[in-house]
Amino acid sequence: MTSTEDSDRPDTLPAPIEDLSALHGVPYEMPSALDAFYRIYVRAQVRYAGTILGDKEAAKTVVRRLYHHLAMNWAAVQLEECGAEAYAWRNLKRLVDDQAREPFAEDPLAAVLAARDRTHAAHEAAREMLRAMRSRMADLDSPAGLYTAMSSLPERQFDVIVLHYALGYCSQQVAHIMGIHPSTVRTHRRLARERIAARLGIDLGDDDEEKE
Amino acid sequence: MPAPFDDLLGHAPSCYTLTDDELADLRQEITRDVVTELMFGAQRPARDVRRAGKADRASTYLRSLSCRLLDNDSGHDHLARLVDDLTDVEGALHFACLLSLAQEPEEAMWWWQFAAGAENATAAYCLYLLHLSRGELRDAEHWVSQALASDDRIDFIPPPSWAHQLPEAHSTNLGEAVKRLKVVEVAGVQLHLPDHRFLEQIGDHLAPADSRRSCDSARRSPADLPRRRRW
Repeated sequence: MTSTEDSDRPDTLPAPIEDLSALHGVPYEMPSALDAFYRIYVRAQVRYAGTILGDKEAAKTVVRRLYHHLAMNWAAVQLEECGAEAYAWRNLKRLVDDQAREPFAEDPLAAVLAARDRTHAAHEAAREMLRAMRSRMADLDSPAGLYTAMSSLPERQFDVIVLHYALGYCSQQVAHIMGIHPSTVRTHRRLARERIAARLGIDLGDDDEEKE
Repeated sequence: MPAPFDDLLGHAPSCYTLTDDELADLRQEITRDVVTELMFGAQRPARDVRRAGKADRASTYLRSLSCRLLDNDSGHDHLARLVDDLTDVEGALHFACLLSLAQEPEEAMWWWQFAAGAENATAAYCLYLLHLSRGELRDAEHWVSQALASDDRIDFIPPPSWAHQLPEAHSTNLGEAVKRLKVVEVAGVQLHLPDHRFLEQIGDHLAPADSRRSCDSARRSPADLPRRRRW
C-alpha cells in the first residue's frame, strides 16, 4: 500500500524466481472471532490513530499492522489476562508511536519529538470540548490554554478525553475500545476535567455524562 | 465570544471514518500480509518485534517485582510503618505493590507516584513498567528517566519470560482485604488507608509458600514450569 512497505519487498524476498514459482500459496482464513473483533473495533481504531497522527492513510497503515500482529498471535491474544481489547489497545498505541517516528528514522531527536507530539489530537479534542461546553468556557480569552492543559494530561486521561470529545464515544464504548472498566473511564474523564479546569482557573461543573 | 473561538468552532469536524469499501479493502490487505508472512517469514524489522515483546513482558515484570518486594520480612515492616505514618516512602512503595497485586492499578499508581516524587527509583521503575504494559510510551519514558536520574538503586532482575503468574486466589484474597479498608478521598482520588487489622489479615497472604516459589523464579528450573506463551 505505502511506498515504505513496498520498498521492503526486494530485500525480504531473496528466493530465486524458480523457487517462488513453485510455491502454491498458503491458505489463510481470518478466524471468525478475529473477524468479529475487526468489525467491532476497526473503525474506532482508525479514527483514534487518525486523530493522533492527523493522517488517515497513516492511520490505515497502523491498523493494518495491528491486525497483522493480532492475526499472527491470535491464539495467545485470546488467552491474554488483560483481555483481547486491552492487548489490541496497547499494540495500537505502540504502532501509532512507531508510525509517528517512521519519517525520522535518521534523526532520533526528531523521532522522539514526533512521537510525543499531541498537537493534532489536542486541537480536535479541545474544539469538541469547547463546542460541548460553550457556556462554561465563554469567559476564556483564548483557547490556547485549553490546548496546553490537554497536552499536559497523563496519557490515559488524554486518550479518554480524545475518544470522548474528539471522537464522540460514550463511557461504555471507550471502555470497550481501551479494554478497561467503564467506571475507570469515568474516573479518568473526571480527573482530566478537574485538571483542565484547575489549569484554566474556571469551573467546568459536574461531569456531563447525562448527555450520552 | 472572542474571534478565536468562532474560528475554531467553524472548522468542519475532521473525518477519519472508514467507508464500507475501505473496511473491506483493509481486511483484504491484512489477509495478504498474513499470507506473505506465512510464506516468506516476518517482513517487519526485528526492532518492532522486540518493542512488542517488551510491552508484553512488562506486566509480568511488574508482578514479579511487586511479589519480590513484599515477599520478605522487611515488606511487612514497611507496611507496618506506613500504617503509623502515611508519609513513609518505602511503605508507600510496598503498599502500592500490594494494591497492584490486588488488581487496583489506579490506586497503586497514586502511591507509586507519591514514592517516586520522593525520589524512590523503584517506585519510578514500577510506574515505567505499568505504563509500558498499557502501551503508554510517553509516560513510560518519563518514569524510566526519573528512575535512572535518581541515585537510588533498583534491586531487581527481570524474571525470564516464562515466569509464572500470581495464583488468582492469592490476588483475590488481597483484593478482598483491600476492599475492607477505610476509604478517603484525596484530590478526587479514592484511596484505601491501611490499618493494623489489615496487616494481620494479609500477613498470611504476603508470603505463602506457593507464591514465594512462583515469584522467585530465578531459583526455579525452566523445566518445572509450563510455558504459557510461545514468544
